[in-house]
Amino acid sequence: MDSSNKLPVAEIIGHDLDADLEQVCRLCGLDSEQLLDWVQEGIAEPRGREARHWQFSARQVRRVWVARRLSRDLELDPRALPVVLDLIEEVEGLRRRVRLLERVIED
Amino acid sequence: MQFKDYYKTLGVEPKAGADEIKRAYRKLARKYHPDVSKEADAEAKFKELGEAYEVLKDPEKRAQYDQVRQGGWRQGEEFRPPPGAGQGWQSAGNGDGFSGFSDFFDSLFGGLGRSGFERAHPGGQGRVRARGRDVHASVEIDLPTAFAGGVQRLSLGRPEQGPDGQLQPGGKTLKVRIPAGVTDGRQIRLSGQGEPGLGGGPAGDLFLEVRLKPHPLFDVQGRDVHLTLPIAPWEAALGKRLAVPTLGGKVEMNIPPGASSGKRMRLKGRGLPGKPPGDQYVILKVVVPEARTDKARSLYESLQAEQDFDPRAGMEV
Repeated sequence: MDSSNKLPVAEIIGHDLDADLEQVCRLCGLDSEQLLDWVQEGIAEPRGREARHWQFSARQVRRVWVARRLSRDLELDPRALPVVLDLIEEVEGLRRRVRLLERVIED
Repeated sequence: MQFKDYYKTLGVEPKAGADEIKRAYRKLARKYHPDVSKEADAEAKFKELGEAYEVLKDPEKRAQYDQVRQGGWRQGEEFRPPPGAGQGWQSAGNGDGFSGFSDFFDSLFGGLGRSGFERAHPGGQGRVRARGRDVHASVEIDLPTAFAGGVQRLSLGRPEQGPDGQLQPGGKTLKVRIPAGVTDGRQIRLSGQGEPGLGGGPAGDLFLEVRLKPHPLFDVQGRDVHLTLPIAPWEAALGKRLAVPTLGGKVEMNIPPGASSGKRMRLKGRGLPGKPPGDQYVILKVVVPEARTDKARSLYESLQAEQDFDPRAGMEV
């Protein structure tokens, strides 16, 4: 028998594992009120109308995680965070594109 | 261990006021924050900044540090802590002390970096039944493992900051099964692999932030995979059925006649698994061989004579 079957299995949050309000709060060290405020500000856009039915995709989980880190390290105003997160995502996409184009044009 | 000049790290004078120190930290933190910086050593630099700011923002720590600094130490100089400093903390000697900062920091302020669990539950042996703390760390996964899943050995070697800024204990090695389809920046959870519970309480969970290692052939965007495929000019001109590498093994693909560099073709569902799975995009790159022999040169000349082709026709030159 394959002994690796007994190993702990990692679950991807927002993919294998539902990411509801409680799970995201726990992961990111937020209380539910703060997460509700952040969703109001547009930091993340969970699926579902009522907070108790919210589901965060893996991408939305990452936005909350990075927002938490930026707010802690740089003391950013929560109202600025959605713009910062959008720009980070855009810059990451552009950097990937540049890497790809460099592969095409480089010898 | 080496002496650290925290004023130099933040680029301020030793007489700088609290506001100036805060401004300098914020400016450099914005530049080197690992979430926004493209500098290769951003993470290490950000850590240095965090350590310098941790000391200089706190009047008590700053006074203690200034006292040591007045001994004439210079940046990078071999440093021996004065007697009584660090409250007897012995670092592990790997360059990072228990606080998550450097050995130098611990030699001056050791004992201040106890884990949040110990701070929250001093003594730790009461009758309280409590869930263990969750532990946060990051992990680098190679692309084939992200594609097919697999066993990964994790080394939680050094303390890391959790979402609340508290330090998480390191020094643990763990083998885990990574599910197929994990992508860059995702959070994965290992249930019950965090700190042990208290008084029979359940263990916390281990949360890992995934970083995909760069791959020599493939670039990844979400679940989509991109491959730059070199082709010969005659393959581009005449078209050809070619074997193309994908993460799941090679597949056959038709290059249409008249293809040129930069043409993007899609292999549906050949990216990272998921619902829906990603696609693989193949970007053609026409590679022109040198005319190494007289015959090759003459064939190029025949082609030039045969083809009415001016690649600069639109430039009016």
